[in-house]
Amino acid sequence: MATDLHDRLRDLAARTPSASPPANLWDRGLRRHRATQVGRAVAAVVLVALVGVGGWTWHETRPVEPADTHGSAHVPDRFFYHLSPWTAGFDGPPGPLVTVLPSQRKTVFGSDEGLVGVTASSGTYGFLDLPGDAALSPTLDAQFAISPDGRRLAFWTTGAPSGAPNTVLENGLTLTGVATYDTVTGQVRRTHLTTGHGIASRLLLWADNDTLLFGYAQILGRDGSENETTSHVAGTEVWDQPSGSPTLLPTDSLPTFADNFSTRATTGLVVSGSLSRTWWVLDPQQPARRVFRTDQQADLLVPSPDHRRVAAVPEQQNSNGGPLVIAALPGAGSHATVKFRTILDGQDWYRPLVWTDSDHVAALRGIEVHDPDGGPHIAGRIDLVDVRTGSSRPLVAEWGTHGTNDSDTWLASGLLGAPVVHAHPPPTPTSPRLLLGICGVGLLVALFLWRATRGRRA
Amino acid sequence: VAAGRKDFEAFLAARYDALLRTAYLLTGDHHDAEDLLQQSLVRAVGAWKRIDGDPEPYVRTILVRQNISRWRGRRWRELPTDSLPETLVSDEGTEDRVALHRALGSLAPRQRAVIVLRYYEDLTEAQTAEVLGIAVGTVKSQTRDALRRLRDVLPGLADVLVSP
Repeated sequence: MATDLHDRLRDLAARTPSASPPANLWDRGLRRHRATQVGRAVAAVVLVALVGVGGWTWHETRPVEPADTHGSAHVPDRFFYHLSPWTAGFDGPPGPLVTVLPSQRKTVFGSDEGLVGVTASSGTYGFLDLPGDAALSPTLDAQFAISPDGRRLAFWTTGAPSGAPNTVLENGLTLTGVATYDTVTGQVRRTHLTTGHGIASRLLLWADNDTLLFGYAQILGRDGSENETTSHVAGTEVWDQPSGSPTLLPTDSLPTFADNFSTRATTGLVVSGSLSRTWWVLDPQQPARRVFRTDQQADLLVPSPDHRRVAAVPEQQNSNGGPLVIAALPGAGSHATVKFRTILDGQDWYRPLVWTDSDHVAALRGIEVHDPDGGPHIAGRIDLVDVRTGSSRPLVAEWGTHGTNDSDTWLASGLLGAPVVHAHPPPTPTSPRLLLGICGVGLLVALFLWRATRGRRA
Repeated sequence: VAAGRKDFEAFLAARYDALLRTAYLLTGDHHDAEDLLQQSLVRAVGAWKRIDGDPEPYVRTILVRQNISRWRGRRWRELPTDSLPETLVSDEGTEDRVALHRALGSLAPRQRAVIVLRYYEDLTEAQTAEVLGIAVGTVKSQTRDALRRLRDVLPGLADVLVSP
């Protein structure tokens, strides 16, 4: 029975030759024990380091919580332009934005143009998750426009024209529409533009918090330079967001080629000019056509909220800047030539941005700064000027896109009168690619240590 | 450390041959048995100070588990063969021993360990389960399967194939 198997096993085992244990077993055991302990310690350190780096990176790249959309707006005392391409995106509608900043956005598997928004309530930076057909090409004219209250962001969209696309974007996409993004609700409104070969963007400007003006030219179907491929037929459309669809303005309402470089609006009143010092006024309260001239050439005129004055910086020869001036806005039917009155003399004013009230103008000023990395250079600073006294004070230390007034529409102009707060730099998350590399190396090291330890055991 | 070494060497002097026999039954090869036993003893040194009481159960546990681990690591590297790795010395009972040797070699390592622990070391099912780190029910089923396999290979053991 079982005893039989027991005996037969004993009989078989008894055939094992007697042997003496090696003398060094204890020493081998001690060496192995120490090596195992060292291996485990290193593996633990690697693991803790991986967990730490991973946790920190997750913390840095996790989606930014949506801002308090009902919180009061603030103006940061500076903006930060050296943004990490790994900056997190907003986890939902971010709330009103004080500005947007185009920036390259990277993912683990690629990179693309992106748009960072800065919230008005907390100054938080985060990538906006705009629809996939949003045109984010940096070569576009009139690329974005934020409504004065920071709630709506307008942008161009890409798509397929009815005919063969004659592309204008470097990525081969064709503009075919306009859209707005509500930063509070996340709603996107679109309008598709009828086009045979695509359009060229020209004007994207909020007349007030609800009314978007946009203008474009039709692209022709033939090859050649831009002059040969762009239609000279142009118009400007007005899109009242609450009511729905855009409507085409009468052709004499604004200059034929009204664009972002020469058109500004305040609380519904639009002033758009041309190189001949002639200015058009589009006033919903006074539909009659209003055209006037100025005694000096200026890029643009910014109307005051009471619609009675305009602010400007006249063009100067051999200078990027000039004095800050204002002028009375002539009434309907007047064809007078208005004269500018100097508020602040000098050569360092670039252009007015917005009237924060009837007596104060936020204007862009060139300031020489000494960058420890790049040496001295001229940076744009937003100052608040009292037009009654000519006094000024800094409002925003740096407005990085001062080189072109096309990008002034990236600023929520109506928020510049809000309280100014100290701005904190956005986080600079570590590249997940680097993290993956570290994890890979760490795992290889851990695997090597495990194999080495296992080899000693075996 | 000195006391630990002394205890360890005293343990070896007393139990090395007995453990070597168990290792032989587990491996079926004298060289493998010696190698397995030495590796198990080297591993036991790291925990020697923590062993409370008789160290043999601890060493035996390492021995059995290490053998199963070695088999898992080797099975994809080694080619099976029908011939025995070594020839037993011919004398009275050699035929029975060869048959048992072959029969044990036909068992999976865990089944073989169960047979050795239960019928050579005379451990209970609970003790066997503890050594192997498995449930008592698994010990029972492994025992049953192993005995059925032995019965197929060793008709003379047919009467044994009832779990005690």
